Amino acid sequence: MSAVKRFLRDNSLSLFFGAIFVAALIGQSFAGLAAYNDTQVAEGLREVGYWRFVTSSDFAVDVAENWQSEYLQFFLYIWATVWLIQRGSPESKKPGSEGPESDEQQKVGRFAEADSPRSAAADGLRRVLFSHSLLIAMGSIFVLSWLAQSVTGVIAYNEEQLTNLEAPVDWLGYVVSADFWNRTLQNWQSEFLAVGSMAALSIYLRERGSSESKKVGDPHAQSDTE
Amino acid sequence: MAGLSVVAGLAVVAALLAGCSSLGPGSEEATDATTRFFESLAEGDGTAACALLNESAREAVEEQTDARCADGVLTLGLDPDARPDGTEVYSRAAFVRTGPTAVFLTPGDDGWLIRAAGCEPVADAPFDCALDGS
Repeated sequence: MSAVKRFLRDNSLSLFFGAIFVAALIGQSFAGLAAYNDTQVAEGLREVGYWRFVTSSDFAVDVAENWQSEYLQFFLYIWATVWLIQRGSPESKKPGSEGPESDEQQKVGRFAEADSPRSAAADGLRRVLFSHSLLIAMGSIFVLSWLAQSVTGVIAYNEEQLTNLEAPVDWLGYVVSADFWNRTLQNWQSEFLAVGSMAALSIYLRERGSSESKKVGDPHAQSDTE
Repeated sequence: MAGLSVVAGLAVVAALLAGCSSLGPGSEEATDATTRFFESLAEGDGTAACALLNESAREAVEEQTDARCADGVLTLGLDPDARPDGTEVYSRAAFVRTGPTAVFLTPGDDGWLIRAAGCEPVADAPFDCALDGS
C-alpha cells in the first residue's frame, strides 16, 4: 500500500468529517448570502457580494453560535462521563467506576508504560495538564466560540436594530438580551437532547461495526464495551 | 487532537476578526456625510442634500412634500444647525447622533447615504423621523 493510501485509510474518519465540514460551511455561506440579500432588497437596501458577506459579522455569528454549542456538548460529555454513569450504555463506564480512577488504571506516574506519552510519566503540573488536556481544549474552544458569538452577534443585532430605525445596544446590553440567549439556548437544547438520547438509545439499539455501539450480541445491561 | 484544537482555535480567532470587519464604509465617512447633509440644508442647497440620500429616502421626500426632492428636503423642518456628536457603525448600517435627534445611514456606491434624518427616540418603538426612507 502506498504512503498516500495508507495515510488516507489511517485518517479516513477525520478526513471525512473535515471534508463534509468544509462542504457544509461553503453551502451555509451561499445560503446565508441569499437570505441576507433577500432581506436587504426587502428593506430597499443594496445587496452585498460573496466575499463581503463571508467576512461579515452576520455570517460569523451564525457560525460561532453553532460551534460554541457543539464544543460545549463535548466538553460536558467528557466531564460528565468521568463522574456519571448510564448502566448499559457503551458511552458509559461500568457502575462503580465513577471518578478519575487510580494511577494504575490510568497508567500514569510509575504505572506509565513504555509506549505511554511522556507527559503521563511526568510529575506535577505537566501530568495534571495532560490528564485534562482534552477537557481543557474543548472548554477553551467553547469559551472562545461563545465570546466570538457575542462579539459578532452584537454587531449583527445592531445592524438589524438600525435597519428598523431602533437604537443600538452595547456589548453588555447584548449579552443579557433575548436575542443572545435565544440564539444560545436554541443550540444548547438540541445538543443536550442529542447526547442524552445517544447515551440512552445505545443501551438497546446497535449499529454493527460502529465503535459508538455495543456489539450486536452484547447484552443490554453491559456498559463500557472497551 | 492537538492539531484539531489548533485549527479550531484559529478558526475562532478568524471568526472574531470577521466580527470586527465591516461590510460598509467607516465611521468617519458616516460623520462626514451627515455633516455635509446638514451644511447643504443650511446653505439652502437641496440638490446637494438630496445627493446624500438613498433612493428610498429621496422617494419619501417627494411623496411627503409632493415636490421634487431638491425642493422638498428644505421644507421638512430638519434643523440645519444639527451636527454629529457621536457615530456608531455596525456592518452595513451607521447611526449618527445629532444632539437630541439622530441620522441613520446605509452604504451607497461611493460611501454612506442617509436613510432617515431628524429622528427622535420613542420609548420601546422605532425612532420617529422627520425624513423617513425606511
